[in-house]
Amino acid sequence: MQTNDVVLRIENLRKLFPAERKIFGKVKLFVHAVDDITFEIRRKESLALVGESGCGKTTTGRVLVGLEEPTSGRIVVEQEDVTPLLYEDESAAKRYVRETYVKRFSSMSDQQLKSLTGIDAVYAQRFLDLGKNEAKFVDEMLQNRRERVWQMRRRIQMIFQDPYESLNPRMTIFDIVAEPLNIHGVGNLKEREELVAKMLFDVGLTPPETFMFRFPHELSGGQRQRVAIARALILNPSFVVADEPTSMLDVSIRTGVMKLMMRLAEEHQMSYLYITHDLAVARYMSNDIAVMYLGKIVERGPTEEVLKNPLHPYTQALLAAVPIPDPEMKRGEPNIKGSVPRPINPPPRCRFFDRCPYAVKFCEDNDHPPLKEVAPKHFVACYVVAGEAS
Amino acid sequence: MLLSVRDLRMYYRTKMGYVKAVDGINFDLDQGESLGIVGESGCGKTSISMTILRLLPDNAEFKTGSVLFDTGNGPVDLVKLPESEMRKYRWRGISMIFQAAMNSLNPVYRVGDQIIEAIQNHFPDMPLDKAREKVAELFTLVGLDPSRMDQYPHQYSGGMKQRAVIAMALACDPKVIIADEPTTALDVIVQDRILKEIRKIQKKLNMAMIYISHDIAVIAEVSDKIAVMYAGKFVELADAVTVFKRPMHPYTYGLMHAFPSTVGEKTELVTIPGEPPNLLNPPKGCRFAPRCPKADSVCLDVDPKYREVEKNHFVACHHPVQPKEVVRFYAD
Amino acid sequence: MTEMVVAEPLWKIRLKLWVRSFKTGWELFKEKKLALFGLGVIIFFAIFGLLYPLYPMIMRNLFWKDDPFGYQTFMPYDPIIGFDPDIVSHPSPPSLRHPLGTDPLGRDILSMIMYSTPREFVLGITAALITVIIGTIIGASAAYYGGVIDTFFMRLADIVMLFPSLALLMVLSAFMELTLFRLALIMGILAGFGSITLVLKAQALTVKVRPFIDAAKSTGASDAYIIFRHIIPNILPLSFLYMMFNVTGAIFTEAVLSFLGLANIRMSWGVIIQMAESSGYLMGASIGTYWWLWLPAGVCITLLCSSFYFLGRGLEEIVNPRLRKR
Repeated sequence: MQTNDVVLRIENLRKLFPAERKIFGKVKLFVHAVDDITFEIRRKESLALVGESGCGKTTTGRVLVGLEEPTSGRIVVEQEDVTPLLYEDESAAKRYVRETYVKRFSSMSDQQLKSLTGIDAVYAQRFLDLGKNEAKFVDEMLQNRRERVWQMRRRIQMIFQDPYESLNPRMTIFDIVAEPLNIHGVGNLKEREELVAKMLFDVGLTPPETFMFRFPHELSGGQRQRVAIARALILNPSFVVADEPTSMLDVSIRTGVMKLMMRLAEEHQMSYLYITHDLAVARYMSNDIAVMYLGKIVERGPTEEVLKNPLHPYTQALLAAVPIPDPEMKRGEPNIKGSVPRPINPPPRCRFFDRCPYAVKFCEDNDHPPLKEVAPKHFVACYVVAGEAS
Repeated sequence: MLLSVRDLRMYYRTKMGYVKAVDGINFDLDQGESLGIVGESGCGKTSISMTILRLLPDNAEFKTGSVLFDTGNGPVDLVKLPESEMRKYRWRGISMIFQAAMNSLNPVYRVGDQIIEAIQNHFPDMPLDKAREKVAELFTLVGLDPSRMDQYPHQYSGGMKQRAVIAMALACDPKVIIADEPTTALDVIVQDRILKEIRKIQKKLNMAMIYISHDIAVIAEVSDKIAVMYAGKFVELADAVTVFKRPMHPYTYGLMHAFPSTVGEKTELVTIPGEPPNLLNPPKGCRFAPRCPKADSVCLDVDPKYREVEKNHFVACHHPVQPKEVVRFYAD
Repeated sequence: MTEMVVAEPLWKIRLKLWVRSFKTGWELFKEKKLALFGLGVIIFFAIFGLLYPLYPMIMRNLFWKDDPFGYQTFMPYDPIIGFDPDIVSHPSPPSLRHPLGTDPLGRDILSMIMYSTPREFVLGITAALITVIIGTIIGASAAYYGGVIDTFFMRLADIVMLFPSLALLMVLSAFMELTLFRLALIMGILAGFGSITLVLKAQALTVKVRPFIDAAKSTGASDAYIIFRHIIPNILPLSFLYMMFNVTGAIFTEAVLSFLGLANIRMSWGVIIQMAESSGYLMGASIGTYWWLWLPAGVCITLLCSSFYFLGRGLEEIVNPRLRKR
């Protein structure tokens, strides 16, 4: 199995935000920011998460780096289930382990447990080794939780969109880039200095000593974004969430940062989850692309394939709407109705139903369609495309 | 010519000296024509529109130049008009769709009332019901339901607000509309609709438009002519196809090849090395020279003249890019 | 490469950066005439107060050379127990021997004022420092944690703000001796839980939502690290500003308390005026006649309070970019 290659696997991730405030009684209205999404990223490969504002792409990234707690779902990083580490509250983590593993495993026979695959197999084996002792298993899953949270934070880093806001204006470039080292207690001052200098050199801020003791406001946007990249990479993460890192940069600067990110991914053997609204940028920054609409992934596949042959009506509309930098080329008309609604307790049918030009009765009567492989590695969540409704 | 700008110079006075934001701009605009001004942040593209409309902050200093605007009874130089006269042409002659348009609606007034106010400021004699009729007409024109006239801005979506702002710009039947980054904050699908809407209205009313954007793709879609601006100056101006197919200024060339596209072959993207200059003290010669692979000692010394190299193709460069020439930028 | 070329040790570079930012701040500050005036007055008072030990020595050499015994006995320039036996009736108007005259007990007023000056500084700055430390930490924490902690401290601030602190101090004075230091402590704490937390919390909230906080969090920074390393440095300039205003408040409150005779402070500018009041020299026509009993001390209070205030206003424009002209 090629699972060893998988750096990140997200299964059925869901994140709901309460849409109302209540002092008494339960909150009933939720914004379904991320609603049951599944994808994986292999080592050295990058996935672009594309969609319009409010589709849940940034929330997905924020859950991964621990800035939001997942509502449900499983996140596996390099063969380790890190979901229990993403809950701040230990009892929530415990509940997660019980619900995800203990409940399921204890109802299975040894035979069944042994036949599990993927990450489940690893934990099923542990479960068996511990003599099916539930309490022990839970304890082991949460062992050294603090320590492991730290380790996880080292492995997943994030680059933020706004280079003007993501660097503390009162810290020098050295302090900013060395901060992760500082937090994780890596090396002494001398070693940190060297690491930072090397990193600055790597991101093209040369010579490093002229940049190290300047403040962010003395740098240009492109340089600042390079500092942000240096900060994200200094702990040698296996995986970086890049939230629109180039959308605020000027064109002449942007390609430099894009190329830099590609080069560093190669050198540091790491992967990106590249969050962007810009399909053209996604084309250059990713191997795979996942198009999100209202918290759901509606289409996923190899980038070139999806761009050349978009199958989901939303992807088609999105692609048709992208302006082409060539006055002679005329693009098609985006075939889409209405505007993006807010996903508050969405009705159980295809999320795209209201705006879809091809929607039929079947789409309205059934729940949101699952992702289906319609071409090799090309998944689409649409009943009509999958041929199940006409 | 409807609008003809000659040697326009406007500097901002700061403690450190003059910021040469608009430094010798020339262009002509005809009825029904659309000009796209493309440039990076801080190159002075917004300042051009502010100078034409004379909506300048206190520390702005108008230096030289003329803005000849054809009012119907002969051209008037807008820069020489007294403020009271200028007010007549602002909005009625030349109006503007502002950057971050969604914030230019006042949240405490009904959208319709805000447009009516704009109309009545310029046509005080127009009765209210006539003005309302006019607003309803404008709403239909920009693709908004006229029944939404009496709603407040917060009840509008981003795209709708943008349409309302366009309706407001159209309120006094201007001859020229300047659209400064009209769709920057919008998602692509909404952006596409708005751009098409503006284009349609422009054709229908035979207006002249000036689009200002950092996004070459957007400019490519809506402009007949494109001006490329760099560090306070136009470096190239020609019709849209020529600028894209045969850019003569190395900066334009770099820009065209730096812009990723979703269609066609996936080509290697060009990186222009360095950073745009500080407009406080721009380089002595050509302002692009420090970043330009074709620059030589002349470029570093002498500011190139903005000249008509071919018919209707203006370039400010000592060594224009030849047809079929491949310029290699030396970044990374 | 990787050969590190930072020749200087880190602390030296930091010092240089600090000096540089101080210089740019000074450039801006220089243009605020009122603030410069404030700074000048503060410096004047600081020197004035520090020179106090010299004053009796000079006076002794000028006027008491012939009567060393008398000087020893009566200590005429002692601000608390001094007395000038050579003058028939006290209070005496300003003279060469007593440049600002004497009070009803025969003490030299100039020496009283000089003696009080460093104490006013200590009181004002201690109280303000306590206020600002409490206010900054609470404001930053309330903003960062939100929820119950936020609600608790904000309601507490409401209560403290609505509560007449002067009245509280009066009541307290009945229970304990309000010495200078205790007074500073109580005033500092009272003000620290009051309005300053609201202001600093509001500022901290704008810092909290900025992505660099998220960046630190995603790297694994602890709450304390984020509060102390990211939030507080960004609100510190504002805290410093409020410190200036609080110095004014503390000196002022002390003067009022002393004037009412509620503080157990042996000597201060407020005490000087209280002395004049309790001996009946502030009534009727005597207020004009015996002006030296209250005017110099009053001027000092006003000047020092306003100079800290002006300094604060001047700093405000440096600290708060929204007020700065770009």
